[in-house]
Amino acid sequence: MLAAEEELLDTVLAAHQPPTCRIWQTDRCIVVPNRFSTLPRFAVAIERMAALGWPVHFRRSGGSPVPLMPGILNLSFIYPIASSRGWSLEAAYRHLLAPLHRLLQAHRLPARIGEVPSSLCAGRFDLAIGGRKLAGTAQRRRSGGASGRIAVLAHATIWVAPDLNAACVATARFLHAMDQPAAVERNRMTSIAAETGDRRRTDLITDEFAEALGRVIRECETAPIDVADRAEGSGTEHENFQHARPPMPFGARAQPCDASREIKQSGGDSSFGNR
Amino acid sequence: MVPVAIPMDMWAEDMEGVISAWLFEDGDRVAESDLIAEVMVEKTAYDLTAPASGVLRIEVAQDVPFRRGARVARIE
Repeated sequence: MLAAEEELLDTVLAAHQPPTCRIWQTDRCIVVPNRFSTLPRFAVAIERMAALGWPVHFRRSGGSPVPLMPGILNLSFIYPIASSRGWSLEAAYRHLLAPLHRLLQAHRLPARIGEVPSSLCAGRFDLAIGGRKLAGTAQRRRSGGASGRIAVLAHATIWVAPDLNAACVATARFLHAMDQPAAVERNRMTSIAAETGDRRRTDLITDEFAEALGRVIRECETAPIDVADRAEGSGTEHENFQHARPPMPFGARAQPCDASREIKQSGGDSSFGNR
Repeated sequence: MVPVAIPMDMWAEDMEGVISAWLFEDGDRVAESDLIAEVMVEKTAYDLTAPASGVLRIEVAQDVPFRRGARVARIE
């Protein structure tokens, strides 16, 4: 799936592919930025994790190692922009989180954008509830397309109903195996299931949430994007996205992918029920 | 000598970035347009390509912060 997204980024950059939105999850694994491959004990660590049932895969977006597994949804927006000046990093992160933020607000889950110290792969544009991280974000930007075109891959990892303990333990083990600090506190992470007290099966909760998210994404196509607050400590003026037009149409058709279980394809005709 | 600088328009904000990974060693020969490094800003990854062919001389180490426009290497 990660390689498929890199390919999509290439094809969007080359204008061979329209903007794409994907909602997906995959079997358990750990994804790491390329730079970790230079660590002396990296090979030993990936062998150890493979033996524990956690294969390690590379990703080109930023951050630190993160677990993926059933119950963790991935939301990817892949789209072209004319220049980075016209679409800041913060704008892209907020644009990505807006549908999720809206969905959580509708369910009275008071999420805020900001870093959660000691959470997994902490970042300034994470989404948290009550100081516990619910979703993380990262981007990849590629230039080199026609007319100076840039392609953006904005990605959110949403903790819907995973085994939080297993995920945190696996990540800590991987970091320890590379002699890297593993300053992750389990109580700094949360999930939709944990916040709502939903005890149903992981796949039921996750599929339902994916469907609802897809619906909200399609709604964002015609309704203004609204972001509640600015990133704490961002040092920037609050950008009012109330009347912003997204740089890509939400609900753009996704490419089918065989590498993982794609929860829903976002398409021009309604795949998400109520429209 | 050709400088390898971070483009001023690589990102919009007044933030610091780092080289998260040099893909060649200091002293390696590179070709124009080779992908020579990965730049990271606020968990956003960018590609840095060689502006010319020649020997790469790294001037900024991995994970050392810099601003847009900074020179991070040169091609001799």
